[in-house]
Amino acid sequence: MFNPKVSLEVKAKLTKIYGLDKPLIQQYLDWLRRIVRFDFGVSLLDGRRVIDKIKERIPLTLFINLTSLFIIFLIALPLGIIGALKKGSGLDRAITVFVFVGFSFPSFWLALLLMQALAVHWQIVPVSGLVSVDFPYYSWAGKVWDLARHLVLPIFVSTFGALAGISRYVREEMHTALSSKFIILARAKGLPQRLILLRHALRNALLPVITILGLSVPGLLGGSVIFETIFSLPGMGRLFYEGVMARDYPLIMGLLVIGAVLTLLGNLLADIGYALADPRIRYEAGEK
Amino acid sequence: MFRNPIFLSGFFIIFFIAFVCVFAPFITSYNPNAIDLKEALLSPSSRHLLGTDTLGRDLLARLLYGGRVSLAVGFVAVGISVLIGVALGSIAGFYGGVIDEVISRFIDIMLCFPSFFLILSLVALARHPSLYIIMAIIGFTSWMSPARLIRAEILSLRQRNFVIAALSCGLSQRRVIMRHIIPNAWGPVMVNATLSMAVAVLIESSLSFLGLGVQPPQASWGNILLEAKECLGVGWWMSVFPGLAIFFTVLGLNLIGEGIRESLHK
Repeated sequence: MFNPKVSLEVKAKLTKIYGLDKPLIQQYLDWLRRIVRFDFGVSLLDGRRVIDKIKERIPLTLFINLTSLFIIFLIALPLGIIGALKKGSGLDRAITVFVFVGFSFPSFWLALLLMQALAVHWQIVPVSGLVSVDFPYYSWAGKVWDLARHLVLPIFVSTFGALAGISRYVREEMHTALSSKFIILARAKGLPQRLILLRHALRNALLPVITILGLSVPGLLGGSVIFETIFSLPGMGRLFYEGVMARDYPLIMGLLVIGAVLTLLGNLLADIGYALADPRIRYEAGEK
Repeated sequence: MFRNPIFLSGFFIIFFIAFVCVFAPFITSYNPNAIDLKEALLSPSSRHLLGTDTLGRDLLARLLYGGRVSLAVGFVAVGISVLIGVALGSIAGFYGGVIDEVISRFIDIMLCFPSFFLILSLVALARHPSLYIIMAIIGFTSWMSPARLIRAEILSLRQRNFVIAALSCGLSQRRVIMRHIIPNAWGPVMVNATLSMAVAVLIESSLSFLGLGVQPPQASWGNILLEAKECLGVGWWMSVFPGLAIFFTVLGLNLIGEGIRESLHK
């Protein structure tokens, strides 16, 4: 990481600053002691504290990913339910084909095509960036509209990538739930279809779906790197890309740790959501 | 398996793509790296079937030779990950106890990190990411799911009568694992391997698209798309055809995986 032409004194000084003169195990322990306080040192690029650089980038990434998770949920549920109800019908087959296409569509290619068609050819939306140049002079509503115009493509791309897998998953779970015995019982006692679907089948099918949503955090974060780079959005993913390009190791390590923390947070939320939705888990935990 | 229509359609897609990439020199007479600035950015025509790029290189030739790279990376990376995964997973599943605990916790730790983050960090560590390094990086960051899969398979197989019988006949543990357990756990692993090859092809092309994977002038589907992004709006053929190639490769692999899964369940 040193410039080979650097003088010996400067080299010695830098070695001391980065603690490279200490034994490896000592360096590791020091690093570990610092990261539990989220102190990742300073960026090699501009000398700013890594945690500050990350902090200002997290909200945008979280906003895009949470919005697309919400949309995924809104679309995947009806798709999955229809697929499970009418298994084998033309509609179900169309959904399956869509799922396979969605699975195999490289998200960065989709972004590229949409950019080419909507932003360059028809110029409906801006090509990239988060806000327009004259953003500070807009009215309040104008600002919101400007942000929305810039974010519509990124959110669409990140939604599309994960939608296929999750709607397929909902379909499988819904199908399993619908063919179980308590549904036959519910049918036999003459419950209306709507109640059977919403109260009996869906609640059971939702459990694994909640888990999947929680577990999709690492995938979404990885996807952020790609679409934030393509659309030049100042989020965590783009920061990671910049760090890798500049070989800014403290920044990379910091983002890796934060990525792991967010992943674990996703797992935790999945577990909590599971317990909230499934009384069996609550009772078991209570008995212990 | 060969009667399953999903498997067959996937198989033919992949067979076709692999065939044209392997026999690229017989299909196109152009050199994928030959620069001819007089011929730059030509749209598809009978001379250049898929047009040319900003440096006047024939796009079809670059796609075919780039396909070799993408397929090779996918294949080798999955080979590495299945090898590590099967080895660690079967050790953990068969021996259990402390060994299982250590391996399983290690898998948990690896799974904490968003895999694309992990891959990018390793790319940053490698100063000049060569093709082999990319293969190794993808392989070493994706062995966790085959490992978990085979561990679970083995935990259930170990209780089965034929394994108990084999052990009580006095066969060595190594022989029981290699000859009796792994062949029986092979189906789900194959499904997983084809699906992860699809993912590996996607990762390689994403990396190359970000400029962090296969380095030009060597062509790969991802870095052709990167060049297309830099001249957005001028040459639609540069962004459409490489994307289609990636799309059909990934689709074919997903179909094969799904086909094997369906025929296993029958």
